[in-house]
Amino acid sequence: MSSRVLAVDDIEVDCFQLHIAAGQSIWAGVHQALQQADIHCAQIEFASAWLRASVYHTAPPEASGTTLVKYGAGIDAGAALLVSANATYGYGNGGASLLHCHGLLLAADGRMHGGHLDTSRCIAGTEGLRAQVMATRNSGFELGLDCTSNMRVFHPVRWPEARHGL
Amino acid sequence: MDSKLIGGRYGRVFSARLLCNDDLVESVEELCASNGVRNAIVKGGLGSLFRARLEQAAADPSRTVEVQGYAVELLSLTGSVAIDAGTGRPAAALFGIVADNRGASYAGKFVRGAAPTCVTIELTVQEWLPEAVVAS
Repeated sequence: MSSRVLAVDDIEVDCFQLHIAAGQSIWAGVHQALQQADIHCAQIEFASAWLRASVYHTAPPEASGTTLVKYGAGIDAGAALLVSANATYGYGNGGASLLHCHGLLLAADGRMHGGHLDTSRCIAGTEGLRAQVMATRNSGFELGLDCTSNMRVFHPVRWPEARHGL
Repeated sequence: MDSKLIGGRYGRVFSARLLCNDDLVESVEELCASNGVRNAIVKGGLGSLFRARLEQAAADPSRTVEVQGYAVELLSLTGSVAIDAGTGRPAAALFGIVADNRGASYAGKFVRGAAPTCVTIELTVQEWLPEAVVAS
């Protein structure tokens, strides 16, 4: 069976290294910097670093069948090493910015676990966080309804004009 | 065999979304094939799978781990795509970390046909356009 992958291409990209300050949440650090630079869509790869606090969610099947899965309550992993994380920054509900981020954590008890990071409750440790950011000028991701899962998820979109001009 | 340094430049960047039940590896290969991409780097990806089979030993491809119990979250993804000399089609080598719905994590190389998308996967693929061998 051939794949039905949805994709848009872009030749204009800008690459950055993002520094998030100690004590700042991942969400605040990403959003503040990218908003200030007028960047709306980017792919982000985090370097390993310590977190002062971390919370993530898993998504087991949704019992009633209304949606395919349902995120459970946040799992508090406490102070942890963020081993690896990938994120997509794009347009969420009503055009507001949205950060979708998954990551692997090494907790203080030595257990490795992870999932969908609650980026407003993942706080950079004393050395801060660094991430490589690739911002696309003419394309990106926008939240839309996925009829199969009945969930709103990121879809790739291309615009006729550049959305930033760094 | 000696190492070599290949010059080149990056080409198009693809922002992509995979749909429910479509396989992760096959979808990346399909994306490249349908867009005429011969070499590419998978810059990152995240989302969810129904399950994943991961190779965990290069010397023994049969040594795999099966991660079950959707949604298996794709936490991070890296890899590359190059033309398979035998088939003439793009072949993807994708590596990553996943977690099951209890949060337990696993890593390895994704086995083609054994990582169906659950809700969605977002990923970014960057074309690589090799030009010349600089040193070998």
